[in-house]
Amino acid sequence: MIYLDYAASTPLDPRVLDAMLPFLREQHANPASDHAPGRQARAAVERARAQVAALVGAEPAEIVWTSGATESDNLAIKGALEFYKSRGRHVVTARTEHKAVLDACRHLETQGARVTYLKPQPDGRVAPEQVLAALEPDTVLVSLMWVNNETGVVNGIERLAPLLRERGVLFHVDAAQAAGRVPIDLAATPVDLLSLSAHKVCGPKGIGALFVRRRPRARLAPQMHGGGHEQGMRSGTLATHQIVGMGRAFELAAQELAADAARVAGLRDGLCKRLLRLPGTILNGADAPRVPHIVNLSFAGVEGEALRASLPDLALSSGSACSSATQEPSYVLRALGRDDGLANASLRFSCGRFTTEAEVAAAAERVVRQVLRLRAIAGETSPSPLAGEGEGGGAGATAPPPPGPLPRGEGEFPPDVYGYGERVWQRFWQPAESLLPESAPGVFTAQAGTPAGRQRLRLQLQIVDGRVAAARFAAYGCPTTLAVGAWLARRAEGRALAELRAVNAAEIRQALEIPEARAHCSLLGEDALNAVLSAAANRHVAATY
Amino acid sequence: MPAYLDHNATTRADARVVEAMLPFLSGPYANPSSQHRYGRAARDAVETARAQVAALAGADPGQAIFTSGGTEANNLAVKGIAARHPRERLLYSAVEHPCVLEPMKALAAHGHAVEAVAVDGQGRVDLAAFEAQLARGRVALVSCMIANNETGVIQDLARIAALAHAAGAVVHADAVQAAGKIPLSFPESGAQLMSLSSHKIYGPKGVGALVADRALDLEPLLHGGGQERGLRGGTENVAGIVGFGAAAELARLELEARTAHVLRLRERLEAALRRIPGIRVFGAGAPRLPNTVQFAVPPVHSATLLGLLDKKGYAVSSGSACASGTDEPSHVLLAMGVAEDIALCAIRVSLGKDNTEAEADGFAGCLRELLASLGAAMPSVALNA
Repeated sequence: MIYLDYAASTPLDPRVLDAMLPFLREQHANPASDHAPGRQARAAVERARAQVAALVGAEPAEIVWTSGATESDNLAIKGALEFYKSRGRHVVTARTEHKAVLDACRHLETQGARVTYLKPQPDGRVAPEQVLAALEPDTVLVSLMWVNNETGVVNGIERLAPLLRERGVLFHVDAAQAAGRVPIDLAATPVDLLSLSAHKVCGPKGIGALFVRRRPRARLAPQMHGGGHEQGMRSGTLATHQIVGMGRAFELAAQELAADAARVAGLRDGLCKRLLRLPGTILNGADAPRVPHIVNLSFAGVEGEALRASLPDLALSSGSACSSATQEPSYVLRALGRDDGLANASLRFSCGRFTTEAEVAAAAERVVRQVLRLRAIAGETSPSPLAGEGEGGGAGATAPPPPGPLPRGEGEFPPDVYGYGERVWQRFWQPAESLLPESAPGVFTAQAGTPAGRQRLRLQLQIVDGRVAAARFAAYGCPTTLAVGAWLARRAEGRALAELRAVNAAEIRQALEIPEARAHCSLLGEDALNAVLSAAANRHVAATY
Repeated sequence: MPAYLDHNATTRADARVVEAMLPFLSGPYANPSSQHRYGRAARDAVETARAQVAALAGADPGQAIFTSGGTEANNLAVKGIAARHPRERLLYSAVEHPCVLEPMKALAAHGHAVEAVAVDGQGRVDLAAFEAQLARGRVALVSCMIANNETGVIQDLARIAALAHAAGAVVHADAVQAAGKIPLSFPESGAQLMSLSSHKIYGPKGVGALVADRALDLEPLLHGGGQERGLRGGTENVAGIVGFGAAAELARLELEARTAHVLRLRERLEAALRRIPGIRVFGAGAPRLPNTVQFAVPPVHSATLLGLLDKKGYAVSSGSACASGTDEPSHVLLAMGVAEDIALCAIRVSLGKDNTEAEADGFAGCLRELLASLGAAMPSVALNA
C-alpha cells in the first residue's frame, strides 16, 4: 500500500507521538484545575500555543484551540457574523472553498445572511480584484482559503489582505493546507482570522486552532458555550495530549518547512514527469502557483470510479476526502472548467514527509498501466477529446508503449477494498480484448449507453451458422459496467442465437450478483445484447430476401 | 503522600485504553472519509468504537454521534433542539453544568424563552414546582443532568422525563458524570438525548458523544463535510474515538467492581470527615455518585484549604474545574439554598478506580491537621467544639 493522501490526513510524526504520550499517560490532569498537576498541564498547553503561534507569525494569545479546522472555520464565520450583525449580513467566499466554509455559509444563508460565492479564474485562483468587486456596503467578512485542498493552488492572500484591511472588511483564511507548506507571516499579513489543523501537518486528528487577531482586535461570538475556556471563545476541557501534539507538529513544521518543501517538490516533479508522458493527462491548476505536496491530474478517456477501483493499493483521493463519500464530481474541478467526466476521472496525489521516491515511481507506473488498461477496455487506443488540450499534458510527449497482455497488478487480481461483489470484482480485472475486424465475415457490432455518456457498452458477435463463434466487448463506465461486458462476451461465445435471446438483465444481475443500486448496469448489458442480436437478425433477413 | 482525588475533573487514561489507541497514532493514519483501504480501516475502527460507546449507555450504535467532548455534546443537544423550536420554552435544572447553562444564556440572548427548574436542599429537582412550570405553556426541551459534577447528587430522571414527556417536551440528560459510575440505560432513562465524555471514564480528552434518538430533528453545531450523519462535520479524531470506545467497554465491564471500590473508599473517607466539627456534607440526604463527596468546613475558604492541600500533594477541587480560578460561589450550592459564605468553603473530593485506602486515609488525616493548624492561626474557628 502506497500512501499518497497527505492532503486528506498525514501520518503522525513519531516525534509528535513521543511528545504526546506523557500527557496521555502520567500527566493527565485537567489544565483548568487549580492544583499542581493541573498547572503542569496548563504550562504544557501554553508551550504548545507558543509553538503554533510561531509557525504563522502570531502571538500566543491569538491562538484559540478548537477540535479541528472544521470547527475553526465554523467559529470564524458564524462567530464573526453573529458578533458583527449590526455591521451587516454579507459574506464573500469562493465556490472552491472547503466544505466546512461552504456549509457554514449555507447555514448562515438560512439565518438571513447573503453570501457571494466567487467562481475562480481559469487558473484556479480567486483574484483580489474579484473579491473587491464583490464587496457590498454591508460585507462583514471575506473567507478565502490560502491553499486549495484539491488542486494545491495558492491564492494571493498576502496581496488581498491589506486591501480588505483598508476597506474595513474582516478577512478569514482557511490555512489548513497551507500551514507548514508555505511560509505564513501574520505579523506582516493583515489577516484577521486563520484556521489551522494539526493532522495535515503530521500532528494528531481532532485538534486545531483559530488565530484571532488582537491588534486590531477581531471579535467573535462563541459557538461553544460552557466553562469559559480560551478567553471565553471556545469552552470545553482542553485535550492536553492533543494540544501538545499539535504544538510539537508545528514546531517541527517550522524547523523543516524549507527542507520538506524542496524534497516534496522533487517527488512531485518526478510524479508529474512520469504521468504527463501519458497522452490525455491534464494537470489541474497548472497555470497558478501551487504548493509542493499536491498534484491533481485528470485522465481523459477513463471513467473515474473504474480508475480508482483499478488502484486498490494506492491510498489517494479523487478530491477532498470530505466529499469522497458522496462521489460527486469535484466542485473545485468543475469550477476550473472540467466537465463532469474529466472532473470525475481525476486523482489527487499528495505526498509528504515520509513519502519515498520509490513509492512515487511505483505509484506512477501503476497509474499509467491502469489508465492504459481502462482505455483499451473502452476500445480507445488514443483518447480522443484531449490531445494537446491539457495544460501540461500530451503534446510532444512520448506515449508509453501500449499495454501488455494483462496488467492487473502483480499476478492475481488484487483484493477488493471497495466493496464490490466478488464476481464483479473478478470480471472487472479481466484483460482488455482486441476487437474483431469489422470487415471479417459474420461480425456484428452494436452499442448501448446512457445519454450523458457516463456508461458505454459495445458488443461484437461473430456469427457462423447461427452460433456465436467469437464475442468481444468494449466498455467505458464503472467496474460493474466492465464486468457486465466481460461476462456477456463469455456467455455468448459458442451459443446459439436463439439461446442468447433469452438472456436478460435479471440473468445478468443474478450471475454477477449485482446489487440493486447497480441494477442499471445489467440493463445496459441487456440493451447491448439486444442491439447486437437485432443487428444480426436484420442483416440475416436482408441477406435472405 | 500525594494523591489525585479530582476524578470528576478528569481521569487518567487507562493503560489498556492507551494501548488500544497506539495503533491509530502510529499505524493506519487515514482520514475515515477516504475511500481507500486505510480510510476504510479507520472507518471500521470508528464504527467499532461507536458500538462500544453506545453499549455503555445501553443504546444502539446508530444513536451515537461523536463530538469533541461533553461540552460540545451538551451544546449540540441544547442548541440543536432550540434551533428547531424557536418559540417554545427551554427548561433546565438550576444545577446543570456550565456547558448547559451557558448555551441556555446564549439562547436567551437570541430571544429564546429559557427557565431554570428549582432544586431542593439536597440538590434534587423539585418535582412539584417542575410540574407546575411545565403546565405554564409549550416546552421544547428539558435538560437535566443524571448526576451532578460537584455534589454527585443523582436526579430521579425517570420521573422528570415522565413529567416532561406528558408535557410534550424532549428530554436531554447530561450523563457525563454518571457514565462509568452508575448503570445507564438510554432507552429506559426516558431521555432522547444523552451526553457522554471520554475523559471522565479513563479515556482520552477531546472526545465525547451525544446519544440521540434518530427520530429527533437536530440542527448541527459544526457544519461541513457531512460526517456523523450530517450532524457533526469535521475529520474524526480516530485515535481519540478508539480510546473512548475502549474506555467505554472497560467502564461497562468493570462498573460493579469500580463502584464497589470507590464507594468503600468514600464511606471510609466520609466517616473520617464526619468527625471534623462543623463540617457540612452537601447532598448527603440524596442518592449520590459512589465516588463523590463535597463538603465545607466554614469559615475556612476553599481557596485557603485547596492551596494548602495542593502543597501537601492532594489534588482536589472546589467543584467544577471549568470554573476554577474564579472566586464565585458554586451555582449548584446556591441553588440548593446553601448560604454564600458556606458555599465559598466547598471542597470536592472525587475518587477514582486507582485510589487506595491509604490515599483516602492520608487525605482525611492531612485535612484534620491543616484545619487544626488553621484553627490555631484563626481562633474564631472552633474546631474542638
